[in-house]
Amino acid sequence: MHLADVTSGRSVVISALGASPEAVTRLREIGLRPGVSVRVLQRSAFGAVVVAHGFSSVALDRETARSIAVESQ
Amino acid sequence: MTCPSCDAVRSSGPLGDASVLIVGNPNVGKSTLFNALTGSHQRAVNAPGTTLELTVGTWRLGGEAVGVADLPGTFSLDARSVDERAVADALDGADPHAVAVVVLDATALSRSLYLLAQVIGTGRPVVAALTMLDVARDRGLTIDARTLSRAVGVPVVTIDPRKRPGAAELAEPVSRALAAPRPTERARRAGPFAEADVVRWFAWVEGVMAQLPPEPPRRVTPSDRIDRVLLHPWVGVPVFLAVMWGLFEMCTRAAGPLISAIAAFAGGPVARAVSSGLGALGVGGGWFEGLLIDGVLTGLGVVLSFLPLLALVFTALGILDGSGYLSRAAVVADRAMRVIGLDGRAVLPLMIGFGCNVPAIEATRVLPHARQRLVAGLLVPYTSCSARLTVYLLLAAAFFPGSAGTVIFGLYLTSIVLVAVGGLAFRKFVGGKGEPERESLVLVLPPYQWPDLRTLWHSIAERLRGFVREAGVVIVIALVAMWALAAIPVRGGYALADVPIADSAFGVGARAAAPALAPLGLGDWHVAAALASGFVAKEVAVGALAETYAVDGQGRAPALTASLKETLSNTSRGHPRAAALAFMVFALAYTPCLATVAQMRRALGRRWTTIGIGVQLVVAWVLGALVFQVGRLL
Repeated sequence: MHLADVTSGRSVVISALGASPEAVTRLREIGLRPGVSVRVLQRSAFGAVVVAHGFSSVALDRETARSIAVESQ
Repeated sequence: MTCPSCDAVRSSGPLGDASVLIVGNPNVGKSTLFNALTGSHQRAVNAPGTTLELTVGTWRLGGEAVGVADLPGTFSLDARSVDERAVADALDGADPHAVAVVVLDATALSRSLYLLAQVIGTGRPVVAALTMLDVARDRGLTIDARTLSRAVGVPVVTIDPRKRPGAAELAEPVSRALAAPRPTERARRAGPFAEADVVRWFAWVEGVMAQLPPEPPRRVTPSDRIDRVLLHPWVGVPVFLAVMWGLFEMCTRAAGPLISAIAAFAGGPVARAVSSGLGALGVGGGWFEGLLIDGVLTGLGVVLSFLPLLALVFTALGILDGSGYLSRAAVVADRAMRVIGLDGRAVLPLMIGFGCNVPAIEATRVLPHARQRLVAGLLVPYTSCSARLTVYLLLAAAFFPGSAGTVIFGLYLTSIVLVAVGGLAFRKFVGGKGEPERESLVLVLPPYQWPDLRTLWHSIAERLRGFVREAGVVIVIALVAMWALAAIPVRGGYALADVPIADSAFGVGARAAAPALAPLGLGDWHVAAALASGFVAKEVAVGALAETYAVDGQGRAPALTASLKETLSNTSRGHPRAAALAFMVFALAYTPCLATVAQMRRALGRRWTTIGIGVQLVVAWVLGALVFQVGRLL
């Protein structure tokens, strides 16, 4: 399952990051690393996804959300 | 012989003698803290060879003036992008005594700690400033500064720069760090980090977090509720378009009247006052008065005329940025701008550009990456500003009386196509070393908040000062040069500043350049002269045409229209409409105005400005020739 498939309001655990090396670096820097739990807050226009991680909200475009493998909590 | 302090001075570059470097993630209140420390003693400087702006200022610390630099917000020192490299270089190259103040966000502590780990790794003395404690407390999280300090091994102070200055809390630990013996060996590195280091830092962050109370579960915040609307798939886009429309309207409605009112004031009452003053001093009437009034004063008038519009646009941008909406705009417009390889936020400068290119160039600074700012800065001149509309209106009314609206609509459409095609082209050719062509959208959305007025005011004042200081000089010098060209007689034995335009250096130059415009059906020196004046400002091009024909003020419009028609009929050998279209397309695509050039030079540097102008001229000529050659067959 990928983050792009998760419905709004559900919490999942990131299992793998498959985006471009730059995007993977950025995702890890801001805290979206394998093993971390996130909740999908909002599905926005054109497939963008907003997830809650800790107290912050992080917006991801459709491709990046598709490249993040997640597991149910 | 080596000299460590010489090396430090050389490598510190624009940061000068800054002894305090403020580092932190984006949107953690760095600039607010910086303003609290330095007050009005600050100025913006460009990092060498980049479009990146750093702010440096002075902090009165215990009776001593201490240099402070506000570095761009970053998540890491991994030198992958120009901006991150600039922060890394600043930390590497600054004075060895300089202290890094790392601003930590209590609501996103692990992210802040990852950067802190890297800054500590540089070997520089570090003081951590913990902010957003009130927000964290509201969400049920308390962090004790002493516990945190013990866990991270550097002094930690709690500050709230939006309510209290923060200077008092930082003064003692920073003074102590400044007085500490200078580190003998500092880690210097080049290129991206090794994976082993990254893993070690993540482990360190987790170790620190384990010593702090666990984060309580997240509750729905007011920002989440606002985002449900502003990022809703069906509501977000219309709201975004409405905001963009508002910006565009503000610029188009304000730009024309504001600019012409101030220019008229400088050219009217002020010029008359200067003229009579010179007369009273006994030096009026000659070339000196011409130089002063038509050169210097006109230049100052142009600089002054842009200030209210710039202030207006910077205020609007400051509010959009400071409130947190700008990040949402990036999400909503991401898909559309991705097509031309730009960040969603690039819509803002481009939209402002349709009103006026001058503030639009400055607005590219809202973009997060150097390459993005460069591409957007090169694209802005292709947005058809309201000054170009005056040229379209004159020519469309004269040559296409029945379908002027359609023609003008077509020109705006051409402008949009030029921006899109330009985006695709620049994407290929404009490289940022090591920067990806287009970053994925991975964006931390800051909570919505009221913009901090002090930060807003400082940023507006600094940008206006920068415009006057840097762009102003370029504008005045160029206008004095234009005046000189028109005042120097080349033939006919006239006196200086008392020469018909045709016999001046300007007129003779236009005559020499005219054949180059023949493929556009515009091979006439009047037209060449008007286009050359249009380099100063597009609305001037119309006046310049009138001037070269020396039509009288009374019957200007019909006389100008008639002579325009006659000229273009001659130059185009019977295809005046095709030639008029070519003129409009040329006016659309070539260099917008002197003030835009001055702004480009400020934001993009001399090299890219020269390349940008060159490309504009080539594009304008090729498009104009294409339009004329196809148009005359129809």
